[in-house]
Amino acid sequence: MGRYIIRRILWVILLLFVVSAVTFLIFYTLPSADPAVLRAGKSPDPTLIAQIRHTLGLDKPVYVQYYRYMKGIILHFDFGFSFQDSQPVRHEIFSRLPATISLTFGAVVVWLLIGLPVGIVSAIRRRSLADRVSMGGALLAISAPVYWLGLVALYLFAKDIGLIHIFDGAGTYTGLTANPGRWFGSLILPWLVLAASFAAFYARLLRANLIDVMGEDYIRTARAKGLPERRVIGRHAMRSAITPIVTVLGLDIGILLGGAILTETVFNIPGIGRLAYEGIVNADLPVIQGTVLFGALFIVVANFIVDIAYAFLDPRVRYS
Amino acid sequence: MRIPRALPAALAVGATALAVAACGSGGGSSSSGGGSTSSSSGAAPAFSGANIAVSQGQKKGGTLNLISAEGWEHLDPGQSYFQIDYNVVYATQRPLYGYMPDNGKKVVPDLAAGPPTISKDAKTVTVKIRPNVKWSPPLNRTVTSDDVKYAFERDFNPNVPNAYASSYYPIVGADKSKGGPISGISTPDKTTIVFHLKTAFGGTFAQSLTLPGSAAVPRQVAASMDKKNPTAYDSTPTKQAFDGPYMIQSYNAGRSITLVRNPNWNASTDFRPAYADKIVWKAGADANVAARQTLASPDLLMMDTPPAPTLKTAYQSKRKQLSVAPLGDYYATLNTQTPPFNNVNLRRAAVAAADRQAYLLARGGKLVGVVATHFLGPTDAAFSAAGGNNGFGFDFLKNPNGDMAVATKYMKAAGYPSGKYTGKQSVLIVGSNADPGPKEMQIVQAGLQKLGFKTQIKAVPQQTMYSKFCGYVKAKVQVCPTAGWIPDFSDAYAYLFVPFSGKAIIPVNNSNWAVLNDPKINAAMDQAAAVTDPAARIKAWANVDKMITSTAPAIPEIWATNALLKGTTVKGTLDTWNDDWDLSFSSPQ
Repeated sequence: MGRYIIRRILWVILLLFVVSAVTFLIFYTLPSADPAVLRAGKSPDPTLIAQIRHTLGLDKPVYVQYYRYMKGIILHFDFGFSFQDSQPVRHEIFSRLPATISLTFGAVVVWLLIGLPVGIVSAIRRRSLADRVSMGGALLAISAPVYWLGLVALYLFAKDIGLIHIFDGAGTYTGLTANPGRWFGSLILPWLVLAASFAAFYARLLRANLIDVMGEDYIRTARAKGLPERRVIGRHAMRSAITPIVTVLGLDIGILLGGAILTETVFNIPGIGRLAYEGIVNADLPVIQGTVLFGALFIVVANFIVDIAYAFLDPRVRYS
Repeated sequence: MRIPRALPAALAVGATALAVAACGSGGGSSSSGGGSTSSSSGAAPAFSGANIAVSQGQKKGGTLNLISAEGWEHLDPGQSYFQIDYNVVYATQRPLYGYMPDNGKKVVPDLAAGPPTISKDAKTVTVKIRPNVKWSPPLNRTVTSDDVKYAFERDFNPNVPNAYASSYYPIVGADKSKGGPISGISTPDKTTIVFHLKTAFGGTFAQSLTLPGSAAVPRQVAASMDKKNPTAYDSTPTKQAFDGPYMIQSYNAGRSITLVRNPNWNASTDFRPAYADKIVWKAGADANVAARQTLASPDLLMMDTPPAPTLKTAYQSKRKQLSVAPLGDYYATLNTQTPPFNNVNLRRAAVAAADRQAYLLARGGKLVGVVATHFLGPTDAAFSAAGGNNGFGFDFLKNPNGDMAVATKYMKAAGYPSGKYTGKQSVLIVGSNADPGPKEMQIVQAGLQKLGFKTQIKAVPQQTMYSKFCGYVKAKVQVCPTAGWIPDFSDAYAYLFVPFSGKAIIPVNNSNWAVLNDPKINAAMDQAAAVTDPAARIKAWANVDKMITSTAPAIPEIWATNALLKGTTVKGTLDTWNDDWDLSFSSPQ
């Protein structure tokens, strides 16, 4: 197990290195616009552009730029500064991380609380009215674009612009430590919106897995032994059916920690997704590079944790 | 000033993004020296906004709440070059001169005590500053001429990349200073600063002193920060020294900023009333949501232009919450250096054949402006002298719907007796792929096809249009129909020089998309820039406008207006020179 973990950590490092190199090459050598020119404003004289290029280090060969960039990250955890507003990228990411974490984990709780029970009920009451209604609803929820759903939710339920004034609206996000009550209130709608499609997907996935597992021999054996149905489902069927869910959950969490761009945008939650979006819109290369690297880090770490968790969830999985 | 990124999306009601070559604060032109102004009757926007008046019964006190989709770029006065940034910088810093919100044509002294003195040869400009303006805590001392001197020194510091210093500040020794002392600036005493210019540019230089690059910066605070790359004076704006009515209490880049009163600000030294006690601005909002929040709110001002659907709603049913101000002009450039439009008569024919009314409709109709007939817009003092709405009477610009008879006349004059183009040269039309760019390309294409031109349309992202096509001289793009211009400050020089002077052509990021390089026009611009007498200056620039229009380097499309939203009870005052709400003149109630 120890050797496996070390090997995986080395793979994670290699993967991040490759991601950083590819991102750097894509955004620094094939930019949509010259950052120095963008920064120089209208009608800049060539001297100013040259000065800015020098200031940003863009006059150096690509490999030197990359070396400097990686050196900054490895030695000082320095991701450079935003071309757009001169802010250190590391500061920007870390200051926005709490909002993204709040949004992600709250939504995870919501979609697990909704998706898992619905999936179980649908599986054990297959073809019942409840099954058909929940799976139909799930299909709708999966099909609804998050941005559209967010706008509809705000126009219906936000206190400021909604038809029915129930929940805090966009732009009300407050840090957890600053005011826990407002933090919770401001995230209810975003959590529900973000969780909607995930809950639907998880319900459908769990239903399918559970239906498969319920037909396995060992489930029949458990029933033949006279175990109560709740125990058969809870202890035997779910343990097997949940394994693919854990895999997907890990990846989903990793992806969302890299930024739930649309949800953060529509609800004006100052998270990493919003930062990435602004970086892309403004061709702000250090911000793009920083957010991509962080996104990749979250995904590989989440994947790594999922792999380790497998060993505990599924007795058949052993690492050597 | 860089144009707000959201602005293109909102210029059009019913249409969205529009590519703009470059920009600046909109405004008119004033006399050199901030003295008398020749007002123009101008072309009033079709819909006159309700909240442009400076006096609306505002009250002192309270918190002014602002919302925007866009965040800030540079709040350092030396780097600030963006509409959204100007809102903050002009509330916290004091350039030498400024404008009243309702009159973008009249320069008023800000930190300066009065109009500048310009020498007869227009090579020396002397400014006296007010003796009783103080810096905010913890500096707490009087602002001196050395603070202004240092501001200009850092405008040329590579760590403080200023976008316009090299264009508007031709100060002796500035180009070699790299942030150090500039030989062409002297401070004989604590309230006097003297600028020695390389050329007879005094009249124009005086106008450019309204830009934030002229706002004083104390050496003792900024010098150590300016040694860093990039300067910390920009990245940590709460540590700046402030001499305006407000100071920055907190700043979260791209998210929020809070301004509070500067306790050392003396109202008797300032033309700004500074009504609100506190200003809280949240950025990063979704534009659709922010616009709805503004319309539903009593006390919110939306700082960027709202999306077209909300604008329509406001225009139809909540007109009191909508304000409109003049913006700049939009045109379709014809490359004067590349065949076939290196022939002036072919250009005139193309202009005559263009349905300019269709451009206006493509952008949303009367709310977004009026059809243009020349290049100096209604906000400029020389607009009336340039013929106002009717222009100079050139036949190829008379009919806004296009005139094929006139177009045929110029085709024949160009050597095409049939009135149709029979040459082999095909015409490349490049524009923004965001609406209404494609529509504008189709409009210009329709006009050219009537004249027999073979055309090819290329729709590209806006930045690519600048960097790889229209702003890249070697690309030799014949037609760029999504060009626009807003002057950096209130002067015809800022309106016409960069987009139409041959001396402004640069290989990359070029803003003279027509690549117009007419020695006579270049010389006329140089002469007009040197004129210091207000009346003579207006006449000279109107003549330059006539010369440019006569050579038809572009099809004038519209003189645009900008629309903004406010809450139901907030007293928002619109700056006609910055085309946005003025923080110092707006009040929560």
